[in-house]
Amino acid sequence: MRRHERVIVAAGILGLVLLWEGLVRLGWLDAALTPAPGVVLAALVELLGRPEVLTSLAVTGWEVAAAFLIAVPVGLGIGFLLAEVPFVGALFRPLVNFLFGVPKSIFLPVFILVFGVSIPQKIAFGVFTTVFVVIMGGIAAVESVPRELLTVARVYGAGRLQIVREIYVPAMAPILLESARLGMIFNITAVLLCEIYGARDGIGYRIAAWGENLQMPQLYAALAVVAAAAVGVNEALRSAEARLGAWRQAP
Amino acid sequence: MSKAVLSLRGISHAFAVDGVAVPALADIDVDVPDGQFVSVVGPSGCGKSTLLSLAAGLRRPSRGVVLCDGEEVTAPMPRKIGMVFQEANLLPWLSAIENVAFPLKLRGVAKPQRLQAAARMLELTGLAGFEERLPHQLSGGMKQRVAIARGLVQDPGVLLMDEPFASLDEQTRMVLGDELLRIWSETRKTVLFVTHSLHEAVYLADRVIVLSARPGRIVDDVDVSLPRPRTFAMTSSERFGALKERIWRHIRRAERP
Amino acid sequence: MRREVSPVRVGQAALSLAILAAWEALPRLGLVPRLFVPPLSEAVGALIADRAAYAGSLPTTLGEIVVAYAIACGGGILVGQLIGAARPARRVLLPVIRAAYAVPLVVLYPVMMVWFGLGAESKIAFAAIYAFVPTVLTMAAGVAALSPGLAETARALGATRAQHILYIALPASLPSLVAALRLGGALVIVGVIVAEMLGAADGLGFLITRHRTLLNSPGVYAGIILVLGMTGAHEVLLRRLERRVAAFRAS
Repeated sequence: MRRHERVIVAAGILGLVLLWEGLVRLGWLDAALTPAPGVVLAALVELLGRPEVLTSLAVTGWEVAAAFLIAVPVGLGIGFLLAEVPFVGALFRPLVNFLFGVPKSIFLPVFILVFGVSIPQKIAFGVFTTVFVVIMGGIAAVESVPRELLTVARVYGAGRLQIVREIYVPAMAPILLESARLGMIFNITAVLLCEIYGARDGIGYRIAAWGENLQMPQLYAALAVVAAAAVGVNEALRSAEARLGAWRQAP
Repeated sequence: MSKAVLSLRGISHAFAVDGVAVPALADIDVDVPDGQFVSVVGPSGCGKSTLLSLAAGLRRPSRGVVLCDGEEVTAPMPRKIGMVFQEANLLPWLSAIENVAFPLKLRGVAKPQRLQAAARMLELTGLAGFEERLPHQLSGGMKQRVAIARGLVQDPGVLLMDEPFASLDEQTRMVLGDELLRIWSETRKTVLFVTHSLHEAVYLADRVIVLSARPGRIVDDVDVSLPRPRTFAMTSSERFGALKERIWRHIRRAERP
Repeated sequence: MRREVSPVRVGQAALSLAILAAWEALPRLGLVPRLFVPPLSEAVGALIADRAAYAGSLPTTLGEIVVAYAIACGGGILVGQLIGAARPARRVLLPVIRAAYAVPLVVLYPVMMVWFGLGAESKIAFAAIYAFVPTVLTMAAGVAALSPGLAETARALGATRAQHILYIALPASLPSLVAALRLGGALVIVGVIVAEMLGAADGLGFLITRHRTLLNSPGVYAGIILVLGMTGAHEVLLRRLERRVAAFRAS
C-alpha cells in the first residue's frame, strides 16, 4: 500500500475511535454496554499489570503454539503423501476434501466428552481444526511445482537431494507459508472457542467471565489484545509469504 | 575429417501405455560430426522430442545406444550435453544470471566463479544489463536467450534444442534464429535442433533429418548446401524452395491417412 | 455404451462403505471409546428417538440462520460489489479487511450476549458478523477479477455506477457471487450453531451442549448429523444454483 493510502487508513481508524468516544460522551451509546475508548485503554493498561491476566495470555499462547507445532508437520506429512503417491492420493483426496468442508467447531462437545475440560483437550481440538488446512496446503504446494523444472534439473545433473533443495523447496515455500498462515487463523479461533465454551484458564475463559459479569472495559481491552496479537501474527506471516513469493507476480 | 561427436546407433524406442507397448521410434542411425548444425523435422507425433530426450540421457532407449564422444549416454551428461526446451523453463524465483549459473551451482562451483561465467554467457546471448531481472519481467524471446545461455554455460560440446522458438511470435523467431546462428558461429557447438517449421529447419541447419510418422524412421537426410552466413534473401532462392519442397513431400505423405 | 469403471472410483466407493462400516463396528468392538464415537446406529437411533426435541429446536435455529444469512450474505455481497468495483476503495479497504480476517471473531460472542442477551438476536448478530468479512472478500475478489474492458464499455454506454453494478457487474460476477454465498452460508450455519452452543435457551446447538453435559454421546452425534445435513443441503442447493448460473452464462 502506498504511503498516502496508509495515512488514509490510519486516519479512518482514528476517526472511528474518536466517533466512538464522542457518541459515548453524548450519551448516544450506553456507557455501560460500550464504554468510551479512554476507559477501555485505562482498563487495558491495568490488566497488563495483573499477573493472573498475563498468565492467562501465556496459557492461551502455549496452547496455540503447541497445537500449531503438532498440526503443521502432521498435516504436511499427510499432504505430501497424498500428493506424491498416486493411488493413495486419488483414493483419499475426496475424503479429505469432504472433511475439509465439514465445519469443525461443531465437534467441540465431542472433544470435551473425551478429554474433559483440560489443556490437552484444547490442544487436540486446535490440531483437529488446523490440520486439514495444512493438508490441503501441502497438496497444493506439491502440485504447484512445475514438472518441467524437474526435467531441467535432471538434464543439468541434479541429484535427488538437490532437486528437493533447489526446486521443490523454493517452489513450495509461498503456498506452504500461506497455508501455515490460514491454519494459524483457524488454530487461534479454535483454541479461543474452547476457552469461551468451557475452560479453567486462558484469555478466552477470562473474556467469557468478564462478559458474564458485565465488566465491559476489561472485556473490550482483552478483545483488543487478542485482536492485535492475531493480526500481528497474521501480518508477520503474510510479509514472509510475500517476500518468498515475489516471483509469482504476473508480468 | 571430423569425428562423430553424437551418435545414435540402432535406436528404437517404445512407451508402455496401459500395459501396451506403443512404438515411438524405429531403427534410427545418425552420426553427427563435430560442429554440425542438424535440424530434425517430421509430422506431429513422429517422436522428434523423444529422440532428443534419448540423446540427452533423460531416457534409455528400448533398443540401441546413444554415444557422445564415444561414451555411452545412460544418464544426463550435463558437462557434455546442454539442452534448451520449448518453454524456456527458467526457475521463476531466480534472476536471469542465477538461472544461467544454475547448472554450475548443481556442480558445486563457487558463487563468484559461476556468476562470472553466467554473466559472460548473458553477454554472448545479447542480454547484458538484464542479469538481475526475474523471469516474469522478461519477454518470451528474452527468456529463451537466458535458456540458451544456461545451455551453453558449461561449455558442452553438444546443444540439444527442442522446438525452442515454437511458442514465440514470428518476428521474434526470426530474430532469435539469426541470433542463434551468430552464437553458434562464435562457439561452434554441435547442435541438434528439433522443429516443426520447415523454413526454420532449412534456414538454420547444415543438414536436415526428416522423420516419418509414428513410429519415426529416418526417411531423408538432406544436405543443406547453402552458404553461410545465412541471409533473409536466401530464403527466396530457388535452392531454398527446392529443399523445403523435398522435405514437405515426405511430411505430406506421412500426414495423409 | 458401457462406461469404463475406473479402479479409483471403485476404491472410493469401497472406502466410503468401509468408513461407514468402521463407524458402526469399531465402537462396538471396543476399539474406539464409545464416548468418543458411538456406533452409527446409536447416533441415528438417538436422532429418531428424540426426534420431537430435535424437530422442536429446528425452527429457532433455522430462523436465526435465515436472518443472519440475509444480513451477512446480502450485505456482504452488496459491500463486496461496491468495494470490488471501485479501484480506490479496493486499494484502501481490502488490505484492512484482509488483516481483519485474522481476528478470531469467536471472541465477539460474549459481547453479543451482553448486548442482545441469550435470545435469537445475539445468535443472529454473531453469525452475521462471523460470515460478513469472508463474504465481502470473496465477492470483492470476484468483481475485481472482471475484465476492465467491461467497466470501460459500461462507461462508454453512459451507465451510472448503480446501473453498472446492477446490469453488468452483478451478472458477470455471478460465479464468484455463488462462491461467496457458499462460503458465507456455511459460516452462517456454523456461526449460529456455535453461538447456540456457547449460550442459549433453545436451538440445535443448545441441544448438542445439553447432551454433552449429560455425557449423552449418541445425542451429541445426532445433533452433529443434523448440522452436517444442513450444510450438505445448503451445498446441494448452491450446486444447483451454480449449474443454473453456468447454463445461463453459456447461453
